[in-house]
Parts: sequence; C-alpha cells; structure tokens
Amino acid sequence: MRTKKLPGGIRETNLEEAEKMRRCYDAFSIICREQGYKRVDFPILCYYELFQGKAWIEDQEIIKLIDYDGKILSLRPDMTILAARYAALNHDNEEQMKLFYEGKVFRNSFNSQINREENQFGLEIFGPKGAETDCELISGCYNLLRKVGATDLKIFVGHSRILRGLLRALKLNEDLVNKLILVLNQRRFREADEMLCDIEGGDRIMELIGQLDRADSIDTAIETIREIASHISDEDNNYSRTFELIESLEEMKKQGMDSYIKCDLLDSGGFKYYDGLVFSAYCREGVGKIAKGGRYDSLMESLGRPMGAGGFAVYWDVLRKKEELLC
Amino acid sequence: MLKVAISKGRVAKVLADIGRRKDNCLEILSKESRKLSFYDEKYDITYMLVKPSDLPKYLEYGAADIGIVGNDVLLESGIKAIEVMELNIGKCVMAFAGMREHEFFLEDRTRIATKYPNITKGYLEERGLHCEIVKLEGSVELAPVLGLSDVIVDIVETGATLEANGLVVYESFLNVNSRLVANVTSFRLKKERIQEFAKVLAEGGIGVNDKWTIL
Repeated sequence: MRTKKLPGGIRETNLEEAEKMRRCYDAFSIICREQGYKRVDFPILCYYELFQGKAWIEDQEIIKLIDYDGKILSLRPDMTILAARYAALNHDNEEQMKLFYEGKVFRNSFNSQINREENQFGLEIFGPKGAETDCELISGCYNLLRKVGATDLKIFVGHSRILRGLLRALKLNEDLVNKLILVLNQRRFREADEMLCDIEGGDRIMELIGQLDRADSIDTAIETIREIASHISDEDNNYSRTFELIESLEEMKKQGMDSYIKCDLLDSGGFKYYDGLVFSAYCREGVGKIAKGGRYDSLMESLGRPMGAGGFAVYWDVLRKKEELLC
Repeated sequence: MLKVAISKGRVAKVLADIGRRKDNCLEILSKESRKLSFYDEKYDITYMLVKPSDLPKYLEYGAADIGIVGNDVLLESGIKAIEVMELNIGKCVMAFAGMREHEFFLEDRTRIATKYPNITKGYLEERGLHCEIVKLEGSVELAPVLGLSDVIVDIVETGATLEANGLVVYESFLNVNSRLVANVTSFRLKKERIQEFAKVLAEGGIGVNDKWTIL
C-alpha cells in the first residue's frame, strides 16, 4: 500500500497501449520500406525561429523553452515542417525523395487536461508534382490504413485555394477571409451570408459556395470547379492551382479511386502551409479524423528549395480506438 | 445507428409534439418516460436527453452524431460542429442590458456580468474592447441591480424578465435559436441518415428548409 501521495503527473501510455502502438508502428515501417520510403528521425527540440512569424501554426499552440544561451527552443509541434526543412537541405534533384516517420508532436491545443502530446506516423514525398503524385499520396494513405486494419475508410478530398480564391475575389482583408473560412468549414452559411451582406458580389459568391458544398462526388466536383473557376481570384495563383485539382480528380477516377473518395470542396485543410490538394480519412464509427494530409509546394519555396511536396500524418491516438486493428 | 442528443426542456417537448402527430422517427419521444436514453428499433435511432450546456460535449466526443441545441450554447462551448439546419424553436437575441435610468456606454473599464463569457469576449474583441467579464451561473439580471456589474449580456426573448427587474435592452448583437448540428465525422459518414432526420423536422414544421439548409 502506498504511504505517500505521489506527485501529479501527465498521463502515461499503459503497457497494453504501448505494445499495440509499437506493433502498429512496426507494421507501418515494413509497409513503407517495401514501397521505397526511408525512415527519418526528427529532433524533439527545435529552434523556435523555424516557426516564428511564419503563420504555419498558431503561435500560442507552440510550446516554447529558453535555452541556456537565451535562444528560444520549441517542442516540435509538427513533423511536416521538419520534413520540409530536411528535404530543403538534402534533396536537390528531380527524383522522388520518400520519407516516413513516427513520433510525438507537442501542442498547447491538444487536450491539456491529459497531455499536450499526440502520437503520429506519416510519410512525405518530395520532388515531382502532378496528378500522379497526388494519387500516390492518397492511395498510399488508404492502402496503409487498410493494411493496419482500419476498414470502411472514406477519404475526403478538398483544396486549400478554392474557397480562399473565391473570397479573395471580393477584395476582403485577410482577417475576414480567415474568419469566413472557419465559419464556412462548419457550414454556418447563414452567418457567412450576414458577414457578406454589405459586400458587392457577396450574394453571388455565396451561391457558388453553396454549389461547392453540394459537389461531393468526383464527377460533380470536376463539373462544379469548371463552372465556378472564372470567379476565383488569381492572386497567389489560386485560379491556376484550382485546375491542378481537376487533373488530380480525373486521375483518381482513372485509377478507380472513386470507390473510396468523396469531395469536400469547402475543406481548406486546416494547416496554413497546405497550398493545394488536401485530404482527410475517416473510418465508420471512428471518433474523428484518423489521418490528414495535403500538398505544400509553397512551403518548399519559402525555404529556398522549390520542389513538389506532399504528405500525410496518421493520428495514432484516434486510430487506436478502432478495435479491429490488426496490430 | 444514428445517435441523437436532444436538449432537455422546450426542445424535447416540441419534438415529442411532432412525434405525437405523425408516424415518424420522433414518435418514441412522445411516450412518457423517465429514461434519459432510449433506442428505437424501427428507425435504428438512439435518443439521449441531455442538459443543454452538456450537449456540445456529446457531439465533440462522438457520443452523439447529431444534436438539437441553441446556437448560444454551441458558440459558448467553442466546439466545431456542422450546422445542418436552423429550427424555429427558442428564437431570441443575445443583448447588452442594464438599468433603465443609466446610459449605455461600453469602454475598457465596463464590468459585464454574463453566463456567456466566451461569446461576450468574442464580440468585444471584434470591437477592440477589453472589458472586465464576470461569469455568473444564473439570475444575471440581479447583477446591475445590486451593483455587481455595470451591464449584463444575456439572451432576451420577450424582455419581460428584464422589465420586471428594472432593466432594458441596450443593444442586441446576435440572433439565437435552436439548430440541428452534427459531429464533423458523423456528418461525413452518415450524411444521408442525418438528412433524413432533418427532413422529418422540416415536415414537422420546425425546420427551416431554405437555400442554406443542408438537405
């Protein structure tokens, strides 16, 4: 019997959960290696300057520490940015660089009553751009999740530029665009309508947004994007990037991926570094998203090494609730 | 199976009335019972009666696929949920109110008593203000009367309670009513079932079926 009160602690993973996670990660590693991916380990402690002022992740979400020499460090809040930095340093040709990883990320926005950590595994592809690479990413996510036992999967495909491009066409300020995107992601159409009621052209844009919302299959999405494209502002290449989505959707249909793909054209992806195709995976009766990914070519440009880039992360803490996991 | 969370009180009563009138999936709600959760085998729906302020948690954690609750509760909770349909139940406004004889003026030193600190703070931030907010659980109308606050933020329906306590509405800033909302995952995976349920509400006369409704 304990005679002393233990100091408070953040929740540990219990023995059974830890074993299950290890088996899943091992299964994931085998699958990735078979497909030519190489394992990479990212440091848990990073310099905060990698994220500072970039708006890729909300500043208040980043857990910061002060080093002995006064430099600000952070616990890694995200793997993709670190993977991008690795590729910018180490990849300098047109060939594909395929990486996979596993580990924890740390953010203040996670359930801080339990912990501020999230267990993830994922993969990133650098090098070529185009519809085939987009399909490789999405089919890679789908096949990987099925192999670890997550069945009845549906993947929802969106694009970070379409909604933003439509709203930018109204010459709105960035804050208002971001607020509208948050509201529209939750289908709070009436609220968005009220916010745009005094804006010239607002009515028409809301009609187009309604059309986007209804386009949930690959075929209707392609048709709808073609119809509304002329209304998308070409600031930041929003207009031209939108047509890349059409090419990717057509390729997905050609590869028979429409059996598990739906479209959600109001999904902008969440992370601000996504600048093209975005996608999320859900299981039947699962709790929440089990994986999320997208393209982030602009992130590579901002690091001084333009190249195609895309990837996805699987959220182990959500996936582990699936009882039928094979691992 | 579809899991439906319903706010106890007025919302549950209105749905039970619709269930009484027609042969539909709400019929089970019209049967008197002290149970808080019951399964309708015919329609494969589980209903749960929950406290309105708790309903967002049921949605957030996936214990419910859809819920019927006021948008004041939803906005205050801050959860992300998909708004499927607006309902003609519990229509009111969120407003600043205070003593009839006082002049309404919002500045950084204003003290505001409210049950809705998050909504209030959000509205003030948009106006560039940083007032002091005092969170109360109930009888908010007493706060300016007893000098606890300068003004209050509360939902106002007819204004009768305010008037009875010597208060008036200064300024309303948000329309409030009940909404049918969905858990983000359930909306993606059970969309057809959710839309069927929404149609029942629309046919029952409480669902607003307009261009903004996801049907």
